[in-house]
Amino acid sequence: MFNRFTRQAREVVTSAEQQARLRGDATIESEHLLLALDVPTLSKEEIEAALDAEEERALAAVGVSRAEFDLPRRQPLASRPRFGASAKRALEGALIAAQGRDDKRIAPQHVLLGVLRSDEGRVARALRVAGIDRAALARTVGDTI
Amino acid sequence: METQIATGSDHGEAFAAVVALRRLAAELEDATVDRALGDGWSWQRIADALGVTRQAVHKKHRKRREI
Repeated sequence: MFNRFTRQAREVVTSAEQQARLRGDATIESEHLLLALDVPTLSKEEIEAALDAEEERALAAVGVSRAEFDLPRRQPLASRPRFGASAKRALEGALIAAQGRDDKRIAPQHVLLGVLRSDEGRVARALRVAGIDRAALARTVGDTI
Repeated sequence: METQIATGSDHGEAFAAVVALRRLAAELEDATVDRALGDGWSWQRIADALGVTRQAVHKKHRKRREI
């Protein structure tokens, strides 16, 4: 699957794995890909804040707050995280985005389009909570390829 | 507590809560296993408390703790 990926796109996947591992997440998900990518108009800190806000809001909707639990800081994972379903979907989306534009190689921008493709899931919700127009962002990304 | 989620009006919000609760439960499990081991609990006792086999709890948490 990765043979059509550019060196930079492969580095994004490696960096996403690192993001998951450092956060103690057992699986690489699309939010880790998002954190590993250069996103127009969005800093890594803003993406992290949006993901935290999404989680806080989702828990608040069922009357739960992380503050009620005495949780330590998340420790990095000792083992290698596996690929999760949302990251697989995002990488499939990257291939579809490249096909749709007749691009031969998969660049980081195609990966970002793949991440932005899904209407559901943590990335879509986090961007919605942060007030970011996912479709407009995808158009901006498409223009940069 | 009566929440909007409980009435099932918004499936997206309900799924978001399910995902966030899963993540929180996993984190709470990790922290509790670490604390219990620190207080001298055996893997078998932790497994019994979690309602899973000793092998399952060992497989899940032993590697995570090897840093």
